[in-house]
Amino acid sequence: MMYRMSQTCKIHWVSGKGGVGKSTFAYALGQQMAAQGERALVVEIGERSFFAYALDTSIAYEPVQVEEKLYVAHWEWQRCLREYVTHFIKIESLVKLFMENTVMRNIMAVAPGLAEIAILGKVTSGIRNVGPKFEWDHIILDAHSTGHTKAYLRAPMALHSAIGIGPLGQHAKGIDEVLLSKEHMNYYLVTLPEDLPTQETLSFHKEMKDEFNIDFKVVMNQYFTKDFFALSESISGDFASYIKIKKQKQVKAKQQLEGIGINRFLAFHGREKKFKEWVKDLREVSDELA
Amino acid sequence: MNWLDKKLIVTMGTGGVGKTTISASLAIRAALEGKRVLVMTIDPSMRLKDALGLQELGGAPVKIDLEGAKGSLEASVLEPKLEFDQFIARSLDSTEEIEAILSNKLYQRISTSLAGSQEFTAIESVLAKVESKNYDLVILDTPPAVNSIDFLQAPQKFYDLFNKDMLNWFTTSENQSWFKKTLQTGTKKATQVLERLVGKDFLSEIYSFFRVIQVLAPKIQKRAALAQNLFADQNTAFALVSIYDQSKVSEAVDLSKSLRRQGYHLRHIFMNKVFPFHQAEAANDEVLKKWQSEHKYQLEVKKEVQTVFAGQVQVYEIEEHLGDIASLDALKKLGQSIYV
Repeated sequence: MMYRMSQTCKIHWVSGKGGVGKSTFAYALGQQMAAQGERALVVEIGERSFFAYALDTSIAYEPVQVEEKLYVAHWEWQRCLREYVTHFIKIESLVKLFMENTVMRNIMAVAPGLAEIAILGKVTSGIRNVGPKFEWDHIILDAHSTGHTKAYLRAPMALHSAIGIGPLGQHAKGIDEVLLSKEHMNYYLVTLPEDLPTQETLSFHKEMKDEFNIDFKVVMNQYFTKDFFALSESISGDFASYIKIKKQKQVKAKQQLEGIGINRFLAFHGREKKFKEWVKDLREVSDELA
Repeated sequence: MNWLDKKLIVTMGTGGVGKTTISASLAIRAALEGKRVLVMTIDPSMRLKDALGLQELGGAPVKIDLEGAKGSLEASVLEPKLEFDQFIARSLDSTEEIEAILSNKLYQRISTSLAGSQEFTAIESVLAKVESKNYDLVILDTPPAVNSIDFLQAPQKFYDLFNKDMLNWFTTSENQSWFKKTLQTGTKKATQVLERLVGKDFLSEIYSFFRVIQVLAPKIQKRAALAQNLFADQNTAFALVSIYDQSKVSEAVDLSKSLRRQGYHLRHIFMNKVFPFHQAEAANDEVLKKWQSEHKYQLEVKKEVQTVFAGQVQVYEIEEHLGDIASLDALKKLGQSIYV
């Protein structure tokens, strides 16, 4: 089965180690696109919604509008699978019997890649022109940890090889094609100008390049610009040395990432309570400011 | 309520708060104070592995030479697949049974991906280590998860997976096949749909797996119950690791609530990466203002933490550490800054 691929929707995959600012960057991307007049949907797939907390609103499966042209949704695999199965079986009573059976639920939780495929199927459905009508120009996937990203990227082929041909096998193959297509996908890896995140970024980047030939674009968050460092020259004491150490760490991190390159720098700014406004103030800076 | 005198400390926290680093520092501190300590972790960063000298695979505890330690320090990286194999070997009597499980095609996949199996094996091996009495203190560094309480419930959930209904469904006697039964109960259609979804081979592999594993179910249940007793014991302390960030703190508050609901004893909270300056020197400089804003933000979150946890648990603050944290010396220093 060949899918007629839609050219309009782009998927932006945001990954990185815990606590580096993935959700912040995902939201900032969304704001950027919405500001250009395009409809953007930020999708969370974690256990718990971060945006429900940060934006102080309830976030669920159905997209919620949070700013002009900007929406947020929280997708669980069970719900995505149900939507897929409904589309696939088309008889609601059978879907119910199938989805509400304890034994079935247990087996589905075990089937290799099924949970991941359910979510990926939903994320890529606009591009593959399957399922319910899709009206997003951009989908930004807040793909929590790097470990999960690996599991997700491996899932389509795992499922495809486990069940081979047949509707779901084909479905998995179609998803894989989208995930590996450069025109539809943008992969971002968020990191910090510090030692541990840098090491993880390096090894994850290499692994993804080797296994899937995917080039993750590195986004350095909490980046200290020149003016920050100029400060340490004008003051003295512990605080000055604190800034100097920060600088050394950043210089070292940048050197280590030289081989893969850094795509974007997001300037450090102290945190504030109002998330929406705070993200708007987030400045993307050029490397010259370092 | 000193953490040093506990037999088991379970550290919990969401990603990026430095949980593994804190766990290692606590272990080092306890060893310096004269305890025989084992720290168990699941997925440490490469750097931390280097610092602790945990290069060998195999999950067996590695002894770490710690200068000036009155006690001893061991560390291990949990390897769920390997430990599941070992659990099976320990639990079954006949080599045939063991062979039957280990050679099941699906076992490889299932032993690491079945809901709760990783957690079950991790907890099983913690239980075994505490029972061994080789250690005064075991520190378990749980995987970062918002719902890490699920981690502790995993043995029970894992057992539930093999509950009577499930087993009967797959393992009815040969005279009365599950096909007949499913015809009666109306699940046949559902089975057909499932077959189309996950494939016929996968289903038949699952049936044979469940037939074999039913032998194991009672043992799993027994160990799950023992693990629950251990976690609820007075000598077990739960410690949360968090940072002064609103969303992380709200996650920590949720975690503490579910711990309490389960009857576990939350004793300590380690607030990590605290901005080390009490006043980012008042100045009109634009740049300094950003630091001041960060400082002010952390103080606001701190107030929340103090209000929520007032009088119930001990809150420790650990300042942001700027040096290389992934060395034994750095971890030692960090450990020494945590008061006992």
